[in-house]
Amino acid sequence: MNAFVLETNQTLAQRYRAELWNGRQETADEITAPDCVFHVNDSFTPALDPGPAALKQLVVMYRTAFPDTSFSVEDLVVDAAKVVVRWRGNGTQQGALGTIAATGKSVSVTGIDLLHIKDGKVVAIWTNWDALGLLKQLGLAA
Amino acid sequence: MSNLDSKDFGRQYIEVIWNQAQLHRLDEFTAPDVVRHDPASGVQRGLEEFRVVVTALHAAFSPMHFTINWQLGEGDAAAHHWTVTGTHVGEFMGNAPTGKQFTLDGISIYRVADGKLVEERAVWDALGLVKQLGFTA
Repeated sequence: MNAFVLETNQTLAQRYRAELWNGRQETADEITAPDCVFHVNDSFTPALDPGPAALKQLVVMYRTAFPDTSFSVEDLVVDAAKVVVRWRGNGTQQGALGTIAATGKSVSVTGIDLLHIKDGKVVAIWTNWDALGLLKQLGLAA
Repeated sequence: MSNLDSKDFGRQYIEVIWNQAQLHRLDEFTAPDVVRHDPASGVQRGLEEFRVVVTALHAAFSPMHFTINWQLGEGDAAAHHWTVTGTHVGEFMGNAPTGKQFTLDGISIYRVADGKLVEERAVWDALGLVKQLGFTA
């Protein structure tokens, strides 16, 4: 397999989770295709339209609620057309998240993104993350 | 299982252990020092802790059927994105059986050595399960 392709895919995944989600908005335009689709399978995040603008809005939604969040990449598995990235996010809820008013609580949650890549751009993203763990840590679930 | 690549291994493991619930065959698939992480059930270290969690999940949800939507990987490391449907027939997280059905997604990253699972990290929609079964959240 082409080592360059694997390295490119790995870099895209790193940039998605550790650059964009840490607040660098322009990364969304740089790494995702204009018609990139999003599937956040958490029974929590609202459905997203395709494209980087919707992705940026999602990041803003979470970073407004948790402005100090720091995401780190803990594992990567890659092949020629796909990459998975396992991450952890640590932050403090200083703003409202949807209907959840600021709690001031610190949280640490994990998740996995699956990115589909075509012609050097991300064309689809599936994400599973521990939304139940977030609600528990905010004191909103048993 | 030592002649399978990691993606073939993943399909067999899902089919035999998670779909067919052949738990007496667990040691064919998992190394004695396997480590499994899952935010909903914590960390299991070793085959016996792993067996306790898998057994409890099959007791709570039966039948369960996993479909693999996507797989990727090279060498010993692989991942799959899956959808599971099931029925809640036994106690789970302190909740009595509801008889309700659910469908949810998850992604698992796993590593295989000498034909056996040595590490599995799953993240799945536990909030979706709570909502679909009507647990008090």
